[in-house]
Amino acid sequence: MQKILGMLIVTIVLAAGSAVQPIVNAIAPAPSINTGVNSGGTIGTGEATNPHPAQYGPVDQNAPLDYSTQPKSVPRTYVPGKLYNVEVLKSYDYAGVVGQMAYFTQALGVECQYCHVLSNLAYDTPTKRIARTMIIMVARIQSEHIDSIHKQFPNFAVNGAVGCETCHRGAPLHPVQYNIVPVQYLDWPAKSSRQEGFVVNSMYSVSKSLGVNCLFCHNTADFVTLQYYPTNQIAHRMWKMVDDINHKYLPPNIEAVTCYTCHHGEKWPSKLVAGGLDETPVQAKANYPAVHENPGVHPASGGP
Amino acid sequence: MADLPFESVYRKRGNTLFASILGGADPFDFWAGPFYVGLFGVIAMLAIVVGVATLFIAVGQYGDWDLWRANIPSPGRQYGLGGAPFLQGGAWQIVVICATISFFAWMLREVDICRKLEMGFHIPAMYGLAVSAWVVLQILRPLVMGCWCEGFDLSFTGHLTWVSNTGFRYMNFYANPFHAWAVLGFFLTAMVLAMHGGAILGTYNTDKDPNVEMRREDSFWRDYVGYSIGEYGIHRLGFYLAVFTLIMSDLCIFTSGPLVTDWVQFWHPF
Amino acid sequence: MATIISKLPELPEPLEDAEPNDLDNNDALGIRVGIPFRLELLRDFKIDTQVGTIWLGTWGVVSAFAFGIGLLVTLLAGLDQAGGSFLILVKYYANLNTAPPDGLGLAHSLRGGGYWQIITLFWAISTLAWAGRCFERLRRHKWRPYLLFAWLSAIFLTACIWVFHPLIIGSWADAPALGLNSDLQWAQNFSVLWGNLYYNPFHQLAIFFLFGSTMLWGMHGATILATSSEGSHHEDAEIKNLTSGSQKAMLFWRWTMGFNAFPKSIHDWLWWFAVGVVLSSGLGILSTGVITNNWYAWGVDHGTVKQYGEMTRSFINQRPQPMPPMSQAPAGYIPAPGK
Repeated sequence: MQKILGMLIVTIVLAAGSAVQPIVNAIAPAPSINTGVNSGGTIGTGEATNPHPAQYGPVDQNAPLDYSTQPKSVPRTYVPGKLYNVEVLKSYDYAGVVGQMAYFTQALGVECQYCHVLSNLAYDTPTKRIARTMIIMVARIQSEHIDSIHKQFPNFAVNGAVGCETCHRGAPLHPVQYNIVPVQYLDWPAKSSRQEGFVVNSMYSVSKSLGVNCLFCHNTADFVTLQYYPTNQIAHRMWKMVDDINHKYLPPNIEAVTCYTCHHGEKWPSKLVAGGLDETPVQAKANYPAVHENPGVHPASGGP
Repeated sequence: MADLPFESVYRKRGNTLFASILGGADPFDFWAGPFYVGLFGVIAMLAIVVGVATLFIAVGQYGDWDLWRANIPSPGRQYGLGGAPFLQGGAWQIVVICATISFFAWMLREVDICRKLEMGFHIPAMYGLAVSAWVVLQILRPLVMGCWCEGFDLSFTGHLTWVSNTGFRYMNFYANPFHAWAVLGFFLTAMVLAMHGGAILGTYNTDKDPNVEMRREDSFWRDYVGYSIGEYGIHRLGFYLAVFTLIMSDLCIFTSGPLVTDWVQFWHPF
Repeated sequence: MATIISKLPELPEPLEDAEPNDLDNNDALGIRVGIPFRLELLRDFKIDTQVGTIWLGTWGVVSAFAFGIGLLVTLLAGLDQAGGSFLILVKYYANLNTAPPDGLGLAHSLRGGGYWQIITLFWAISTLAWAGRCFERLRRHKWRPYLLFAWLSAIFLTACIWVFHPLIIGSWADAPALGLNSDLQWAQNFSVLWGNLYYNPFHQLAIFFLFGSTMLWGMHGATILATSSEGSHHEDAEIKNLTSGSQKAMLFWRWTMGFNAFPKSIHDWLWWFAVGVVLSSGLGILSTGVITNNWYAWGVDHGTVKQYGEMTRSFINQRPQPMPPMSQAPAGYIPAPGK
């Protein structure tokens, strides 16, 4: 009897002892690499947090957006009810432009003065230039990346398209969590097990960003050669999309976009829109939810 | 195989579990060659025969006879805790039932043998712990998780794939503290085993007097590491190390799934 | 009804050992140090109560010094990582990570792998010196060198992991870093990088020996404990002359599984299983990257593993690509290597 009691006590003490660290961490969480690269400093407070500005942004050079001075079409006296200095939204009428503006304020949780000079709404501002990039980016993400993925994997398509709110989620800066490495670090074979640690950390970030475990994309019998499962292929494409966003469209001094930005802990981002700049919110729904379970792995090992 | 020279002195009928619980004599209280039979031996043998036969039939039906690759998979998720058709998991269920019966019967047979030889029951207790690992993995945890699919496939490399996938299902199994304790237990056990084996193999028959040999052992260990645990103590140490390791192993897999689904997050809950 | 707990064995011999000192081999440090005392608490656990003396010896002193220096450098490196704060060192001890350098040469700086190299060097000296101590003491006490071979096998394994494998692969970075979480992560990364070590046949053998060792210890320990009331734990005596304890032990196994070991031969089983663990593991580490760079693919090709799906074979047995330059990494994510 004493022996059993003794063994029980040992086990309980060990279990309790093993629980000390997580409790301590809950009270005073350790700064982990998974919670933000540049913690502290936003564009509003003027602290430059990204020491590698060339990596992210500047504003896309291909779009005709580079104004160093006010454009000629902005008049000295602004006439309300008329449109001036409209570039990307050229095809919209007045009501359409105002509707878009209303959507921006709601999706970004900002007021008009965040982008506009209120006495002359046509004046160009840096945030306006960024907004133009963003509009182009949304359209390009959807057409170049996501639509082509849907075409290749029709069973994995989800109703809805990305919109401003998908990334911004009601805040002027997108939420940053769970960092990932640029896609060239995913090239195999890795040169060392230390480098491979960067990949592993990214994989953990992806898992938490999508709220899934490793088996969603992988058959862990071999991570290296068994990349046949569709979620794996889709993830490759998504990764290139994220790299694209970070390299081409993101303004300088902005924290990098990661999987979490859109997915926010869900397999299918919840804040989608009907299409492009249409602000109609759409409930994300997979057309074939069952296919998202990895059949390459025996159900005994479970799905997400 | 001939009996050991002193064996006849010990081969006595009676003193079995059957006799003490049900009264009367165990109908199978005899030896077959060197093996003790006993009621539990018969039960074990029946279960083994049925289980192995099912194994062979199933492997034949699946088609792959290779010793490493042959695989009897557990049922799919859709069957939950119910039965499954033979080739879709039913074979697995039958083999697991037979194996479990045979393990328990084997353990009780060991108890019988201990009773006959009037020795302590440490061996069946230890064996029971080992069986508990099987029971936790194939029966208890699937019951708690609500699905026989949670048991591992019966296959050489197949069960390794199961281990790999189950480990990654919980993100990083190395972060499971019970797993860490169990691994420590395994490595310590191996080290202490090498030390004990080396001690006896180093000193046996080096002197006429066994007390001198024992003192030589004690002297060496005191010189080498400052402490000699003694010939009784080392067996206590080894036994309880093995017990500790197995208990930690049981806990490490039983908590994965029912209690914790992400062992990395376990350390950073919020 | 047999008892479950056997009788308490007699007290061991008196506290003084055979010779108080051991200056018979021209070793200036060859003395037994410490005052032996009895730790009565241990009696409750039914193990020997005498603690001490310990033999110094030149080998032992060298080993202890090298270990101590290594430990000191480990703490220094940890303090360095913790920014000089001992409090942070204690709180984040699990995350401390003293990493090896890339490539095969000397590290360019302390933080860029120098600490790791210094610590590894001193701890290698320490383990080798301990082997020397083992050899010398075995000789003195006239033991057969089984213990030495076991220790050398363990050194072999650690050398494979920390030295031979990096040398073969061409980079120290493939060796584990020093640190709790980073060591665990190394084990994870190593397996993922090399195509899942479960399919490495040496690894399989090593696990067989490891689990077998635990089973054998459980069984041997249980057997002796169960029969110790009849003296089976006096194994040296039993090897010369079987008494009822060992007879029962042997008969138990004979009746259970049809065959049995003997008081001496069981220790052969134990020793070979234990040494088999480290030898197989060492071979497994050595063969990784040499026989194949992807054990799953190797398994599929040699018929031991099922092919679970279409395989991308372009990575297999190719030379590794050079790592992209660190300057392109987003700062703050990947720790700067040589700063």
